[in-house]
Amino acid sequence: MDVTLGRWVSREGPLRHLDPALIVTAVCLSLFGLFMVYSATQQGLRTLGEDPGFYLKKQIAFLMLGVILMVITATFDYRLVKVYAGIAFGLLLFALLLVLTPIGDETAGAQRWITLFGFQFQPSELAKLTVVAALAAYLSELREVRLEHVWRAAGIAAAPMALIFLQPDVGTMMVFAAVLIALLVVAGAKGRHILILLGVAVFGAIIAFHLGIVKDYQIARLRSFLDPAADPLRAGYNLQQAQIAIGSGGMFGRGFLNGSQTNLDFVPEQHTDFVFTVVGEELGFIGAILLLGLFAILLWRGLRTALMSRDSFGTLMAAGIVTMIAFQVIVNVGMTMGIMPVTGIPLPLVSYGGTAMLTNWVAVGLLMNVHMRRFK
Amino acid sequence: MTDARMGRRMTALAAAIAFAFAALVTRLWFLQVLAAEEYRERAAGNSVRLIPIPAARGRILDRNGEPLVDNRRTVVITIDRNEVRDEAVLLDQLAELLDTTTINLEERLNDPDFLRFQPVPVYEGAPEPVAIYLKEHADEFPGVDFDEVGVRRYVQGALAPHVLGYLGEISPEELLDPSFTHVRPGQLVGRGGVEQQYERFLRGRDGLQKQEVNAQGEVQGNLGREEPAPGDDLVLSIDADIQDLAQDTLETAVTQARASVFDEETASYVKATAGAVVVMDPDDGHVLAMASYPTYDPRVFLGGFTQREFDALKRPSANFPLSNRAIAGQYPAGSAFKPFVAAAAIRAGYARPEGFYPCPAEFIVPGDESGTVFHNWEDVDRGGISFSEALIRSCDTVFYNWGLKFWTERGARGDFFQHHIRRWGFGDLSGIDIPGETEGRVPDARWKQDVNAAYPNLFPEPTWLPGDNINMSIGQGDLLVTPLQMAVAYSALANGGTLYRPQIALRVQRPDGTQVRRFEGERIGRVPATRAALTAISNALRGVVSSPAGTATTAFAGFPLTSYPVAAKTGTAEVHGKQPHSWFAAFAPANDPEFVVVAVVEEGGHGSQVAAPIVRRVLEGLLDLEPGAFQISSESED
Repeated sequence: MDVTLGRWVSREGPLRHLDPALIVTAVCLSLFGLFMVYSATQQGLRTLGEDPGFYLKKQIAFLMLGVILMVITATFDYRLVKVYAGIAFGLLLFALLLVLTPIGDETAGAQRWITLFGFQFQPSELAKLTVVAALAAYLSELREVRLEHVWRAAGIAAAPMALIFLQPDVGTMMVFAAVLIALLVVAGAKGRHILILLGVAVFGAIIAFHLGIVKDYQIARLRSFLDPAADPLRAGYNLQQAQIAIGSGGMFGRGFLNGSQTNLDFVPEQHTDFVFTVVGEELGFIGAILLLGLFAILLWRGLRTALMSRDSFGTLMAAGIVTMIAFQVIVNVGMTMGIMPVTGIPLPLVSYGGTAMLTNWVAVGLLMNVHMRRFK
Repeated sequence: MTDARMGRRMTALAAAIAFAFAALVTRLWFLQVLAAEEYRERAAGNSVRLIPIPAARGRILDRNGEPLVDNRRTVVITIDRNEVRDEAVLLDQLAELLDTTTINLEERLNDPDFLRFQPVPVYEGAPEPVAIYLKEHADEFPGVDFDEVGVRRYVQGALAPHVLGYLGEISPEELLDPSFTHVRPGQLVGRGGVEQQYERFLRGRDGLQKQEVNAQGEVQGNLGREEPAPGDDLVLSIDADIQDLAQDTLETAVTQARASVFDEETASYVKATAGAVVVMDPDDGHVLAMASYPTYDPRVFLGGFTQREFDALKRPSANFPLSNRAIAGQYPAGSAFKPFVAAAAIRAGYARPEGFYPCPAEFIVPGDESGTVFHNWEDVDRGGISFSEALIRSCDTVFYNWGLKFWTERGARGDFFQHHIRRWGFGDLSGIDIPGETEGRVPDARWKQDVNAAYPNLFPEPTWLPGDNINMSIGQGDLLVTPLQMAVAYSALANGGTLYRPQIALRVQRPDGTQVRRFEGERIGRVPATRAALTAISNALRGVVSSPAGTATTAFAGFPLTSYPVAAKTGTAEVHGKQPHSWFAAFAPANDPEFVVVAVVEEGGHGSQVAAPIVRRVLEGLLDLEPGAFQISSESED
């Protein structure tokens, strides 16, 4: 037997410590998503005389690519991530700057995309993982987290947050804020230091608005995201339709492909940000609970990995990924039910979208990596 | 780094997430279990309104691609009855603004085809300033709105209205017809002409605007749009220039005839009440021109058109301008029928192209003691004349003789004469691709018996007598033909015996010009005549316009017959109680016919007087000749 392979399958070797539950859960969520994306898009595509499986097929392709990326990510030792986190962070800032230049593509008033080799991708999606890695790398080096470290960690998160704010993509920005707070807590920052950070952030935001450092149009954009009343006809109406869709599903739902709200196209962005309304309408309370249950399992496996990690970098990275996914699920699902502000956050692994799918599968790969290599 | 403190902090993170998930599930429980009923009702209350986006109707082009009919935008005024405060006042104001009557608007507004909540179109073709005024004073006209719609534009004015047809609102009966599945009440469909015949190509497919509406019918949002597919263009075999010439010449001839052609029988100028001209390509049956007089302007069918205006067109005093006499007018053919009788006589063995036949001034059925005398049209005994001369001079007595033979041999041959004549296309629909055609009539013993049984007062005689065949031998009696049937039969004579189904559409093409469908001339049979017989008849007909004895030689004086030989036949169809109908049929160049031209003028006098000059002028146009002065002839040849 080859020496290298022997090391992989030895008692404490990585291959002996895969986390099948994690993989199965992630695959189940993605398959769930495929059905929902198909249901959300098939009727509209049919009406236009297009292939009803158009989005489904693209999503399947991204899913397969994502699984491959997950396997690759799990192959090398995650500690390499710590080594390259700085470089990746630098590249990310560059990409986020590019998005804001004319190279970036603008859709619906927001510049979020870069086209590379014929493929559009969204650097802000990749940014989530990169910031998790960078924060984990920084915080894992500290013996004790003092106030100055809190500021530095905040600084790391603030740079990409600022660039993403300019796109503008407030939802993603809030993901960073959540990850920052969560990692500071897990790394052991004192509660009062975190409160000081929050206070300064709020105070800074108020000052920025009042001094006009933030441009009027940015305020307007921000407001339209935070306050649906800024666009009363559309946003408020959409939210109402989303709730009607979910509510009308009842306990058992109206059946796959049978939702009237879904088929008649009442809910906007239904295959992306509002995909949960399809689950609610067609699969009912049972289906929605099943979906949330799958997420709960995924998060539980992630937290478990964080606790079992052999080093604090692994712990922090796993905790960051869990926070990233959890925050997106909570905000996304909450938004469709009217208990969270409407921001452009997709439902991880379920919503249609290539970059997000790939990012989330890399995240799963990183969790797996930490889990596999929990022994020295 | 799995110390206890880290564990506690991780627990805190897990607790926060668990708390948030619990909140989600709580909300989910509220929406889907507690409030499900209410939301389900709201989902049911959500409804979709489909607003059709009308497709542009295809254009109609002439054979050279010249547009005859296309579309223009027009402003339609609509009224929403739900928003109107005082209907009477509003209608008065509107009527004044639109320069129409209150009654007209009221009639339209109360159209039962429109539902209570629908805005009702009440006036089409409002001028732009009126639309602007209405927009600026919207508060003074509650419930009034306007809409831009496409309507037909007749690029060449009143050219070929009978061929084109017009658009009219779909009828309740048509709505039940499966071929109108996609047409909605109130929509316009083709009426008459190619507009009706080729509806399925011209129509296109309407698009849809999907709107979400609440229970009050208020628009809540747009849910998508399906673009309309415009109709295909229709290219006709009609040549706009020839059509224009035919129409113009027909009208001129009719007007001039009323002032210059004197009918001795009635001792007055001819009435020349109506007429028709058909120009056909004998080699494929394509119709190059089709004119009917009196005519109408198709623009009367556009906007603001009322029942009264429509009735005016139908009034007898207007002499039925909507009727397409070229396909629906039925007349005795007169002597213009003789070439086909001659063909029947050759076929029956009564006549030979090289034979000579007596042409006395009178003809009496041998052994008939009743004193019935059949006269030739001229009061001269011409002695024995050749087969050709019989046609050139149009000698009735020669044909009487053949007609009688068909009668005397009925025992052995049955209705040989009638069968022969029907095979030239008479007595049956030609199958032309526009609606409204009539069959004409080739009478026989059976027919005579039937009408006698049905109308004994009008038709007291039940027996087929020698006189019936004798009369038919000169295109009289109970024979009826349409101008189109004559054109089809003369085409067969000109092209060596092939009977074509006349065709007006050449092809259907997309708006960008790519061909969708092509209509070839369809052969429907061969006439029962040998090539030799057809050639002999054609050669004889050349003498009609060129020989000193020819009935139309005067009418063709100065026509370059050496370069463009013409074969033709005059006809003067007698109708009891009326002045005779003037017929003329021709094909040219006679040695290689390209065009068949047939003209008839109701109560227009002799064939050579009115119809022949019309055909001559149209031929000049077709052959690109310098037109001579248009001259109605006062010579009263047959």
